[in-house]
Amino acid sequence: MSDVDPQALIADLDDALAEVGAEATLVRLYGTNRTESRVDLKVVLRGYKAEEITGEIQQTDQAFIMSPTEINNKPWPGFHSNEPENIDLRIPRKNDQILASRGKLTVQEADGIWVQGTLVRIEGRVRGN
Amino acid sequence: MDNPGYKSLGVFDITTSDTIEGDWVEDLEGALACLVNVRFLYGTSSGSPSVKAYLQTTTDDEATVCDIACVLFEEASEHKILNFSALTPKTSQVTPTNKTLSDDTSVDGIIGNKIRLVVVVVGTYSSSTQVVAGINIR
Repeated sequence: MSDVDPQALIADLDDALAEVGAEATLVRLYGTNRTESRVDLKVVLRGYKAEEITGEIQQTDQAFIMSPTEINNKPWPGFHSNEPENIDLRIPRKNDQILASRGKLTVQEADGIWVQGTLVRIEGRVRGN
Repeated sequence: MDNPGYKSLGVFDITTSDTIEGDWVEDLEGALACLVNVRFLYGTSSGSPSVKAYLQTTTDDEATVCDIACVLFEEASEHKILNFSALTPKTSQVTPTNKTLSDDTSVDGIIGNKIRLVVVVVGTYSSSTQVVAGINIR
């Protein structure tokens, strides 16, 4: 039997982000009214090394890591009537925005990491500034 | 209340006659007060349409729901705010209603551990019409 505890993994990530993460805001825009759904959270951003810049990855892209804790607590993005029901809306998707100290960064791709059915970590790539 | 703060009730795109149930905002055990913010972003419409936003709670884990507010919107953008207290005595028995509370009325003193918004649309609105709502729970 596995002794991996998803909640412990989330707590470890939260502790790490509290120590080295940057304050940021995750934003999703809805509809022609551009209605915002926002959540404040901590995020780690890092640039790509030269050997990693290949395929769709550009020089100005950055990798990000965030925790699901603030997203679950909000909850973000919250209900939206025109969203499909078979996807996890908590995972940032293309054109979502991360507002950080270095400016507005646009999400290019993101994916969640699940352990025993629990979302424990979100990683992805942003572009901008 | 170990997790106070703003919680989104959702963004509802308003187009044709429909009943749209938002997700329950959960884990509200110990809540003492609930400040409700409901915005109606009006685009265009035809006929004599109406949008009723029912704020609902549950005291038995969704077995029954209870309307605690009904906010009526028609053909103009509006912004409505309500505040509820969990400490308001209810010594006269309250019979829960489900999407039948009278227009622009509310019932104070009933805050369960879950809250949601249900939007009932009658008529036709443009795709840019929305209801955006949230609560500040504490």
